[in-house]
Amino acid sequence: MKLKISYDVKSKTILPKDTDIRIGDRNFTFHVNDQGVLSKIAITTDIKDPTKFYSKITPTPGQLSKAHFELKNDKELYESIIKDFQDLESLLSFAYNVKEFDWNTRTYNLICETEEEKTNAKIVTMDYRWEFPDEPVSITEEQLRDTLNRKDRLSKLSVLFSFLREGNNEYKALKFISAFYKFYFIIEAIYGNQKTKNRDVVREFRDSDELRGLVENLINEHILVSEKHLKKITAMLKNRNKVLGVDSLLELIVKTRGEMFHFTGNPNRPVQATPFNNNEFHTISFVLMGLALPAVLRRVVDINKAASSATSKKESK
Amino acid sequence: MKFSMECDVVSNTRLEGDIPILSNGRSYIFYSNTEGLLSKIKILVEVPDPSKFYSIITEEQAAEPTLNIQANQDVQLYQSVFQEFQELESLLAFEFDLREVNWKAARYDLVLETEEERDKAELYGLQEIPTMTNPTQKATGPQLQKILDHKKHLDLLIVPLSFYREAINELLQFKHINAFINFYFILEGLFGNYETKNRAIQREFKTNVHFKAFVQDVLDGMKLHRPSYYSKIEAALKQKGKIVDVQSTIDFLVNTRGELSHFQNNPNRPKASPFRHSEYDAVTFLARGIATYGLYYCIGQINQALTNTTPTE
Repeated sequence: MKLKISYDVKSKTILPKDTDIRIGDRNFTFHVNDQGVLSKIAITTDIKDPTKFYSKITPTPGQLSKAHFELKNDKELYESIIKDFQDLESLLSFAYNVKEFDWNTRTYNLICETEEEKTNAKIVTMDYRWEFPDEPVSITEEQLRDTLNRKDRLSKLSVLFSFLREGNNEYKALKFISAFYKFYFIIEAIYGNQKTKNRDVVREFRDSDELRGLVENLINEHILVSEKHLKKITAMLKNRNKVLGVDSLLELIVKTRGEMFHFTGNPNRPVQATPFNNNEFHTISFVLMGLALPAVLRRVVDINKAASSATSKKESK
Repeated sequence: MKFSMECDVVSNTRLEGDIPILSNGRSYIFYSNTEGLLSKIKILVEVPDPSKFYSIITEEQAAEPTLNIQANQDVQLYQSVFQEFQELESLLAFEFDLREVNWKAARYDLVLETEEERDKAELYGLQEIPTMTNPTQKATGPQLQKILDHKKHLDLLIVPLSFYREAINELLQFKHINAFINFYFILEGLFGNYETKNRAIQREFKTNVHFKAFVQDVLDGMKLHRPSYYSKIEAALKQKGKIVDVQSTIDFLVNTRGELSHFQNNPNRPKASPFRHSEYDAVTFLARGIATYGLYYCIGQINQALTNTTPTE
C-alpha cells in the first residue's frame, strides 16, 4: 500500500514538464499546469503497516447521516509527509518564486496493491477543502446613498473599520495569526487607554465594564456552546494554570499578543506563531473577532445616538 | 473642471448594474463587473481652482528628444478625495462585503469644461501602476533534485524561510507593515538569541559582528541604489537626534517592531494602520536586506559545517 498526498501550489515557477523524483522511500511529483507553471506537488510513500489505514464505515440507519466514517491513518507517517511539504514550500519559495502551498486544499489517496488492502481500506480518496461560507451580499442604490450620508459622521472610525476589514479578510483566508493582530489592535485602541505594557493593558481591560460584558457574553454564547473552541481555550488557559473566566481570558489575550509578536526560534518555548501553525490560533482569533466586532458596533451606536440627539436638539430649538 | 479618482475594488457585494449617486456635491459611481459584483468606484469632484491642475509638458531638444512633464495638482483636493476612498473602503467593508481597494492602480482624470482649461491642462489623466520586479523563474528536474537532497540539512531554517516567503508575498501586495514584521521575525529568530525584550535584542544584534556587517552593507547599498529610502531612514533617525550608523539603525529597527505591535488610535501619535503601509517602505527594505544577508549567511554556515564533516576520499 502507498499513501499519496498532494497540495495545490501558487507559483511563478516554470518547469519543462511534470517531474518525478525519488528520494529514499518517497516519490516527489511536481505537476505543471497548461502554462507550464508548477501548480501541484504530490508526495507518495510506501506504507509499512497498511492496517493503520484500514478505515471503518458503520451504517447508522435512521439517523441524520447515513453512516459513521472513521478515517484511520498513521499519525507519525502523515506528519512526516506534512513536514516534507513545509520544507519544500520554504525552500522552493526561497529559490524559485513559489508563492505558497494552498494548505486548505489537500488531496489524500491510498493506493492499494493487494486484494486484502482493497477490501479493508474502505476510504481510499479524500479531498479536503477548508473554507468559510462566503456568499455575495447584495446592495441597493438606497443603501449606498444611506452609507454615503453617514460616511462623514463615522469617519473617525475609519481606521478601526480598516483593521476589522483586514482582520475579516485574513480570518476568511484562514490566516488566523494575522487576523488576531488586526482584531487585537481594535480592542487595544478602544479599551487600552493608550497603554502598551502588558500589565497596564490587562489592568485597563479588566477595569472596563463594557469589555468585561463583551467577554462574558462571548464566553456564554460562543465558547461554552462550541466543543472545539471550549477545548482549545481551556487548554491554552491550563498551560498558564488558569481556568476559563473573564479576567483569565483578558490576560490570555494580552499575553498571546506579546508572544505572537516575537519569533525566537526557541524550541523550549510554548507554541510560537509561524506561517505553518495558523490553525493553532484559530480559537484565540475567533475570540478576538467576537470582541472586536461588537466593540466597533458600540462605537457606531454611540456616534449615531449623539448625532440623533444633536438633531433633536436642533429641531426643538 | 472636474477631478476624478477611480480605483478597482475586490468585493463580494452584488450590485444591480452601475450606480451613480450625487451626495454633498460629489459624484460617486459604483461599477459592477460581468458577474454583477462591485468592482470599481469613482469619485468625481468639482475643482474650485483649475489653475492648480495646469500641468506643463515641455520638449527638450537634445540628441535624444525627451518630454518633461510637470504634473501639478491641488494637493488638498487630492488628499480629500483620497481620504474619502479610505473612508468608503472602511465603511463598505463594515456594512457590506468589500474586501479591499486596489490602491496600487488608482487612476486620476481631469474633466475639462472650458476652452481655457483645455488649453492649459495638458495632462488629462494619469494612472501610475507601481510594479515590483517579480519574474517567473525556471526550475529543472536536477535543480529540484538538489533541493530535495539538501532539504534535511536546512531543517533549522525552514521556519525563517517561511517568514521570508510570507514577507515577499506581502511586499508584492505593497503591504509593507506586514512584510516588515515577517522579515523582523527572521532576524529575531536567527540572531536574537531567544531574547524578546527590546533592549536585550538590541544588545544581541549589536554584539553580533556578522549582524552589524549586514546592517552596514544594507545601509551602504541603500545610500547608493535607493537614496530615497536612505533619506527616509536618515530623517527618521534625525527626528530622534541620531545619525545613520549601525548602532542607531539597529535601535530603530527593533523600536519599529515595538511600535508596530500596538495600536492606540491616538490622533496625536499617528500609528501604523492599513492606511499607512507606504510609510514603512524604507524600514521594510532595510529589514529585507538584513534578513536576506542573514539567511544566506546561515545557509553558508550549514554548508561549511557539512563540508568540514564530509570525510575526504
